[in-house]
Amino acid sequence: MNARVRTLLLATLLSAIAFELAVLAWGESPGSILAQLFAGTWGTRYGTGQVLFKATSIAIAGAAAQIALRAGLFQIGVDGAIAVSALAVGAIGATLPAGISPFVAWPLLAGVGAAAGAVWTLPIGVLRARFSAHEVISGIMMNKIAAATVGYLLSRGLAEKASVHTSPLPLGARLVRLGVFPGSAANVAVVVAIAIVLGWAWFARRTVFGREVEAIGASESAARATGIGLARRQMQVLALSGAVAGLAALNDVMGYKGYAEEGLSGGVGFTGLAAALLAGRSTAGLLFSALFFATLSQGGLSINARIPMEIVDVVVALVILFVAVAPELDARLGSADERPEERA
Amino acid sequence: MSRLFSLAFLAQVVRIALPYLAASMGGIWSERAGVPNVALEGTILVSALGAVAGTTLTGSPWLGLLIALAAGVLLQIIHALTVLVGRANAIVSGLALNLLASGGTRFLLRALYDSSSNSPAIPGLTSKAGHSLLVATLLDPTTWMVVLVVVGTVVGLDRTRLGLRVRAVGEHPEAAESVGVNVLRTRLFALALAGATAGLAGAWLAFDQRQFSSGMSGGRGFIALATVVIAGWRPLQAALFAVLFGAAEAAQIVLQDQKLVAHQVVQALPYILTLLVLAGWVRRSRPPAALGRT
Amino acid sequence: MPGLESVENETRARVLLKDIEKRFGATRALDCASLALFAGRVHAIVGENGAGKSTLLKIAGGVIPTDRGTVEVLGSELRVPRGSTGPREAIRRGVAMVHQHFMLVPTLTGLENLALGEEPTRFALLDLAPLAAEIERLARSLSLEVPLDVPVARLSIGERQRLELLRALRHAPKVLVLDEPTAVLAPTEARAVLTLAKELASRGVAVALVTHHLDEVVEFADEVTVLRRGKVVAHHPVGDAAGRDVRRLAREAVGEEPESVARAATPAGAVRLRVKNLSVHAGEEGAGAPLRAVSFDVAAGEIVGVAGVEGNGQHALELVLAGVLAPASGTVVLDGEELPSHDRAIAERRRRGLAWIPSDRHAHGMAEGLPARDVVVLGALAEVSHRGLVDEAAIDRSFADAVQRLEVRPDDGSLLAGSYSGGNQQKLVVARELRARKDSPLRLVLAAQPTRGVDVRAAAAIRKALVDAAGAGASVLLVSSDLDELRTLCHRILVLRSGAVAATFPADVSVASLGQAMLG
Repeated sequence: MNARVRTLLLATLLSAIAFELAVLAWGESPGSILAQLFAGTWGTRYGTGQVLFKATSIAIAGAAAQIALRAGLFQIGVDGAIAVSALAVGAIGATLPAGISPFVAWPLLAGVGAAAGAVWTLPIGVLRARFSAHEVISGIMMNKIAAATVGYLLSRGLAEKASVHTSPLPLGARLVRLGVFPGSAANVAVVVAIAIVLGWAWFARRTVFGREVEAIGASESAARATGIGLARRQMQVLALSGAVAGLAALNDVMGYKGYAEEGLSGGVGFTGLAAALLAGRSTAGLLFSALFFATLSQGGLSINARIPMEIVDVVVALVILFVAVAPELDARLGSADERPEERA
Repeated sequence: MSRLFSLAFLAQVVRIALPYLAASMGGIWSERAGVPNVALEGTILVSALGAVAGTTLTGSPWLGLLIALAAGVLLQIIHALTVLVGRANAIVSGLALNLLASGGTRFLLRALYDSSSNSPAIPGLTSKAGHSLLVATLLDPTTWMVVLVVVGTVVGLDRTRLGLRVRAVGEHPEAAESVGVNVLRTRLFALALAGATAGLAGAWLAFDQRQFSSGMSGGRGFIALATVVIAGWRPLQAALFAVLFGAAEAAQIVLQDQKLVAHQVVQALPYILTLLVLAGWVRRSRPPAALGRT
Repeated sequence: MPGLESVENETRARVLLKDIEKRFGATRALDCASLALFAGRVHAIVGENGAGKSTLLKIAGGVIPTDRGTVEVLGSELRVPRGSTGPREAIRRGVAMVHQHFMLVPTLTGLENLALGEEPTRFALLDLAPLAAEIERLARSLSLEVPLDVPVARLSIGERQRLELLRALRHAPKVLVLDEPTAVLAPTEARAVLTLAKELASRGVAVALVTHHLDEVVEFADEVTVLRRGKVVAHHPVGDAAGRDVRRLAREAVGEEPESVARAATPAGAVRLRVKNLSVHAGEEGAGAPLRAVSFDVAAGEIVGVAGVEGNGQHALELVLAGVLAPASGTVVLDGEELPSHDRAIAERRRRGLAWIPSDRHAHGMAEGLPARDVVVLGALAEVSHRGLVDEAAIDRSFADAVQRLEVRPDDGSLLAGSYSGGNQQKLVVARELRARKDSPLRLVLAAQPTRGVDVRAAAAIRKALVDAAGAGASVLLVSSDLDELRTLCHRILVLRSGAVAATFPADVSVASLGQAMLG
């Protein structure tokens, strides 16, 4: 953990420097830009709420990615799972009676969302477990098919008349907004996100499933050779990842818009994956990364008038690259003279 | 439906397949050399911007094309260094570079043209005025460049010194090393080639639409990678799949207005096809043995 | 000898290795070893696995640098810089080496492989026709014909070796180094290669070859060097009586008779493991050399040893019995029930009481990225959990048990297994496999090189654990290259050679007989 934390801090520092340089090159003052960024995010209650709202989706998507990463799998298909799940939740939620109680609606729709996400991720699991097809390609394909499917179903009747989104959810099905952040979209889904992230951390450590998945991620061949059911576990991991991904849709559909439409997730799956890659195994790291990305995203909006907010993406990408080469840098700088001898 | 069987449709297919073809061949060079390449998407983006920026800054579309290729090569070299020297996971590096490209190009779009969606229009390499689509396509120099790239890859991988070394390095780098082939240099070269060919795809997009718009690569880089995989890493088959994807996209455009088949169905068909092929066919052809092992 | 008169004047050695010392990590591969290769002579190097033969040859061939000592090629010193790619300097001076594991790209044709590195071109395209003609001429003159336009993956091992020889001989080397050229060849192919080596020597080439077949040494070599545990223990000209005494050479390679050793009690149990006509094809993924219709039985409580030079089928046997590899034909029956070889075969075998100490612990035994305490329960989580939840205390107990039984160091189970020394990693694996299991007794213990790289005390503890397992009624199959270990622990010893059981010996077999059966 120590090395990872050290790397993350160093990466944050470097990204801050890169950000400063870009701002300077742009002709703005880094200090005032940062101040404005802070003001637009943690500086106001509205801003804080928006950050939390965005971080919620990122954290859940990140957890979905982290689950798969534990088995050594890159879950790019999170976006597709979210899209399908959002539609399912929106469509089924719209059919619920107007006076429905949240205690019925919330678990029901959560179940719908998780199931939709899991089912949508199933093909990726089958292709990987049965046919050894790399999950990156199948994930991208499923994302594309999801976008097309959602668009198709919306145009074929799931959408409200004369609109491009599903009918609004009844009041009982909507997630309660957090009043302490007035005007923002922050809702109780924040609690769900934290529960999922912590829950997975517990589940991964304490269950046989989690430990076997960890073994698979450490060495597929050794896991197989000691009797762990490789194909079975890979499918289960991806199904679980898909289910969690499906839950990420709740934040937007039930907590914010109150309906489902195309493009709702807005690429949060990829951001979640990026957060998971940065965080590694660390739970705190995932929460930190989610907040970090959400801050940048929301903050980018507030500074957008002065400097393009896309600078944020650039900085994030550089951070990921840095973290990716950090172990090798560590090895080279740490032991410049010792080089492992090749085995004859 | 009759519109599907016309020369105009054929021209559309050829046109639309061009970027897929170019990027697909780039994927072939990279993956056959043993370096997984998820960054084709980002490469197309940066080179598209490079084409537009280059043209507006120098006033010459041809220079713009050159800059586009250079931009593509640059991104791929970063990928190469990160993976081969920095020993980063190739998938992580590819995804990060895609993010860098999407954010970076939008940033530069704002910086250069003060717009968050489109650049101003640029002249193409040729004028389309007055010609039918088919003739315009045939007159377009980028069409022939892509054809050259495809032929060059199919023939070159098999019959040139670089191609032989790339194939060796992707299968059994130790054996190549033992006869004096510099594995790192060969892979760098292969990735530079990938950058140039994917760069050609981006340039084509920019000149075809006569502008740069945010996210204009539209997933073509990923599709190109998919064509490589489902073709079993064989260039001719990958080219055929690229044309197939082009045909599907062309069909989708043509069928968009009619009511018989929803356009999303046609849109999704190539992706479904890819999944089916992954399930059925990839089993039988193995990836290069050293792919991903650096 | 014909042809020697013309090179008799060349009294300087073509390659001279003096007092070579070479370490790999903590292991000392070569200790004060010397070797001289003269023009016109075939110099054989013999010894057991791990004796250092390949290492010595690679130093002679300029492939790897030596830690200490001098390497002279054609009179002047040869330095191999760190991290150099390939033996370029050595090749430049006329030293050609054919490795034990072929450096051929399987998907390329023979011609393409030979062209690699110095590809001839015409108008930017490969022009391989002249090369093909040159190679074919060379092949004809040496009786090394091999199809050049077939992908190497489809060539037989003998054919692949011909390609390697052609590549080595293309530029008329002054020194030819052959690392186990005959190890995986059929007898006629082997003779052909050795005859070629002798022919080349008669034309003035200095030839060095590593072999396990002592009869080959006697027939084809001019002098022989015997290595054991990194040291040169003997050197004889084959003209001498000592050089022709195969039994003596075997004993020198394999070691003197040790002092009397304790024997395990003779078992009286019924047959438990029945292996019948087990065959595995050559080139099977990861298995190496093939198995040819191997059959044997192991009784309950019996420890049967499998001896043999590495590369004679032991690995294939291990993988098939473990359930990782499905055999081409034959059956394996444990306690009357045939063992399955489908997808869940491995878990099923373990349920039926199989324990496997793998020879390749990195691929099959453990994962370096896991904490040591998790390695001790890898694949056995069902035993340390209640209803799906892991019982950490039980894992701690298992780890503590391992630490105590086999003296695992360090004793902090949270440390990653990869940070443990090789010997301690092995102890973790052994502790796991031979643990006391509730409900299901051990029925078959498959131990492949269980004490390799382990210190003396721990090796003794591992051996005791194996004996105890047998005492509790399990059948134990012990594949080992440590003959002392086999003779101490086993009731019977099978010798595998060229994929078949070459001989079966009782426990009190002499080392010399074993050596001779192994080395031919």
